[in-house]
Amino acid sequence: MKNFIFKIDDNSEISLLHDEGVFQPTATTNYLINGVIKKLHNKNISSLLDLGCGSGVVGISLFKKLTINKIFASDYSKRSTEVAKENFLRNKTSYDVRHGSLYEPWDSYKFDVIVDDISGISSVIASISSWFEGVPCESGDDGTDLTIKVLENSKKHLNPNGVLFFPVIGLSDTSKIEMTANKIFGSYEVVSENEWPIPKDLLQHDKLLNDLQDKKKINLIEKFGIKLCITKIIMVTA
Amino acid sequence: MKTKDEVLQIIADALDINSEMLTSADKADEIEEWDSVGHLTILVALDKACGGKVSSISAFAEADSITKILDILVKNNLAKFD
Repeated sequence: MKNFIFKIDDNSEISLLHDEGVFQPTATTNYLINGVIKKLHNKNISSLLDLGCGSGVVGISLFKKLTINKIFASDYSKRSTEVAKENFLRNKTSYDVRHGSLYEPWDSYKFDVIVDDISGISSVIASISSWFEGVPCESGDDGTDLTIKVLENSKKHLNPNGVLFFPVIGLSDTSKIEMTANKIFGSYEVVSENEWPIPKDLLQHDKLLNDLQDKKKINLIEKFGIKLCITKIIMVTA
Repeated sequence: MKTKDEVLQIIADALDINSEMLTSADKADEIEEWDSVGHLTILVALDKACGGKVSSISAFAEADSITKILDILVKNNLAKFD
């Protein structure tokens, strides 16, 4: 296992353990954490579920920055939950970590806040990117399968007025996800929106990116002659 | 139309560095903060400063130095240097 430092913002960082097969935090992780902090910085939160917790980076960061009584966290990867437990312990976080797919470990549980950081990009892109080396990505060709399952099952796991945060990434069919959020929750709020350049290792697969774009499986934009991806952090209320 | 000093200040602010650094360093790989995200931040800042006229200029994708950025701005009548 390796040690790494995760910078939450200019003033705070946390020390985490990491291991092979555990998803490494990306820019999306930062956008998600900062989006949740922006919306909930003055609230008292009894329970927060970190869904797709990986190393536990989202839950631990939010526990440090917000007023949260207890973090609940789960992941499809057994190894991730083992690493997350160690990270929650070393960062003195009140936690309950479980192993299982999506909401499977939380049958009758309800939460004030759910933060979904489950794979939300096209599985075709995941298979050629460095982000998912040794990490499963079963989000489908258009990257929506898991996010839509989360949306469909979130209401029964949220307390009244509870909120769900999730990223919508241009490396997926963003319209489909936003339409589903609207249909299930009536409306949604875009908490933040960030543009970032597609990494060089993916640009080597330009034809594949164009094919996926033509088939509306992904939704990239081009500015300054650079292929860009937009990541939105979305909040819905039960 | 922007002056050279104004353009350098925009780039320095985008990278969150002192503009004096840009007089000794020219190329992106000489400036730690100028990675792919830094490059995009520069272009977004220039676009804002130039009233949205930068985003449609594809030559900026390969502009990996201050000199190249300045040249492209001049060629597109967005900057003028004496």
